[in-house]
Amino acid sequence: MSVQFGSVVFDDQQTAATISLDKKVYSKPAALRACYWFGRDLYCHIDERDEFLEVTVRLRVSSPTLDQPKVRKIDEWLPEIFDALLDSQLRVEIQAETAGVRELIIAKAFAESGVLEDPPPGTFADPVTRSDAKAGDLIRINTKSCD
Amino acid sequence: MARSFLPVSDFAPAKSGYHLLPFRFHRLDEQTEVLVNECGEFLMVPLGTAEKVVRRKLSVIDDIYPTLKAKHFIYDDYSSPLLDVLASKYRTKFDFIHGSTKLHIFVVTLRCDHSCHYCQVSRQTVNKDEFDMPQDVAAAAVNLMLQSPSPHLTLELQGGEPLLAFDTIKYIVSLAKPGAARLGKEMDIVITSNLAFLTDEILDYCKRERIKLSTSLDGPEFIHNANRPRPGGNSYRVAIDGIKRARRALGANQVAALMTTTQLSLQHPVEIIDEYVRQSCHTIFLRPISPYGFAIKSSHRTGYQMEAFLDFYRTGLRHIFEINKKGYNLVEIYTKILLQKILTPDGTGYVDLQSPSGAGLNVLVYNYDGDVYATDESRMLAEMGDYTFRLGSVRTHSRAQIFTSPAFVSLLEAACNQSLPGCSDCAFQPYCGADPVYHHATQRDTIGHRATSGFCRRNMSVIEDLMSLLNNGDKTIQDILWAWVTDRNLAELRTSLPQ
Repeated sequence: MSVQFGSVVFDDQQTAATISLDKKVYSKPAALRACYWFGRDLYCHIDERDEFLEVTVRLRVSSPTLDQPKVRKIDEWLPEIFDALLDSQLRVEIQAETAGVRELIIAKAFAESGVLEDPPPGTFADPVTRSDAKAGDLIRINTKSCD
Repeated sequence: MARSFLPVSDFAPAKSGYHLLPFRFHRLDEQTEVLVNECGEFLMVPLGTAEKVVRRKLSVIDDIYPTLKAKHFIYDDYSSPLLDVLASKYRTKFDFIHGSTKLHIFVVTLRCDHSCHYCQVSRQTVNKDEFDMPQDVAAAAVNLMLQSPSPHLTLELQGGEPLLAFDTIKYIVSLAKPGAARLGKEMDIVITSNLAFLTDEILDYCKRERIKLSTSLDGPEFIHNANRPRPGGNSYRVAIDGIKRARRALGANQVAALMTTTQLSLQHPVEIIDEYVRQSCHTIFLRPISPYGFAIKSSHRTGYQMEAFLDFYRTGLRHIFEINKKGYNLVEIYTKILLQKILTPDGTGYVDLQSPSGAGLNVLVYNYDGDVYATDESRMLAEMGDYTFRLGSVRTHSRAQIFTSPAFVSLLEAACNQSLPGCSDCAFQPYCGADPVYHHATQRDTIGHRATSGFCRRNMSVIEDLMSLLNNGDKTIQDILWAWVTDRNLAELRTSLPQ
């Protein structure tokens, strides 16, 4: 018989747990990224069911061995997993919101190395000068006027 | 009449609110998380701050609001995102790419008198001349090295034991130095030797040619002799004698010692560090064994988990702090490299902590037989029959062919931690590196699996430790860390601080 605890269902042996995540709150990339970091100790499986993502985590080693004399029970992993899910969701949102700016920063950083096919968009509103730059330098910043 | 200012709320962001700039975050402990922006600038903040920022729960009257703006985590209608400043900082972090390959390692011979357990070279007996670098190979390798666009080159001569092929060393230097001068390049030359064959003639030569010496010192006599067996069982005495003679002849700062950690070393961090102090060394590099060459074959002697190394490192670092507190300046090099990446705008020349990976881009290895490898570790793999990272040969390949070889291209695909799984959203990405050769050697995959990676475990742990020390460590320890970053000792740092 399985035990239910909130949105988590444990198996009979307490070696696996299935966590239901509302897709309005957690995205699939966030769940995948969170699970990635538990790959050393847990098997992870993600399924989609209606409005939910179902994340099943199972202990890789469920009883003590010489290499691993102490084994954490599956429920002891849950606080870390919940934290990781939250953090991953935030990271996904930050990346989605800032991807364009990030690309622009990197494009501007290397714009004058001659490796970009197209110049980056935008203007140099804050000119930066490096007076010792030479014509052949890979990394170089030119003075730009603010007009 | 006193002039009154508008209330703070009048300066609140417009209804559009504030906008995010790219940043990452990491939980440091139960109370603290660290936010790191795209250029590696960081903020220690209460746990939950990242969520507040992302969910727009932050108000202009929060104390942290102006700091987040000033450090480029957010911007609003009153601030420009200052993209060019960020771009400039970003470019500075990546300045190590400039000029391409700087470190050129020549394996002048595979011959060696030592039979170290962890040796990364398939050593040959001292009499087998066929394992020396022939002159035509040496000349072609020098030619290839000089084609590097870098205005500053480092030529490292190693083996085996390179002093067993001293004539080859002289031949290479006779070509490299004038060649570099002709091209207007500066050049540092280092011989990496166990010093067993160091003669006065060699020392005179090194002094004349301004060649530095680098050697191994694994700790006190019982550790060094056990780690580095040689006929007579006296490798420690030979190394100490060589270090003293070399310092007298060349100057103390021209001779460096490096240690390698073995299973035996793990039990003795304090004794090893004390030996470095006893030998008047002012730097020590607590580094784990590379998982290559004989280090894997002899894993029953040297094999250990990264956790054991981290215990060793932490105990060692605490002891080093105590030594510094007593007034002796001793710098742990790995800590210093990471601190420079964390606390200064600069990147690092240390090839093992670069992204794009330094393999090939910042270091090339010319083997005695003319084969060119991306790193010294790539050559170790080849000695074990794995030629994955052999980029070509100085006999048959041009520089362009080497840098467009399938081996190099495949290396590049896993060379940027910005796009590696696990690394791409890691807050410590700007401080860390990518090491496709390590991950190929340990996980048979150049991209690697971060959750089980020793490289990730080591760097994540050490950076977390350093962040915690910077956040709430002992003030004296924080001063020691700042002194290391600014190349001063503790007394000099404190003199420079405002009273």
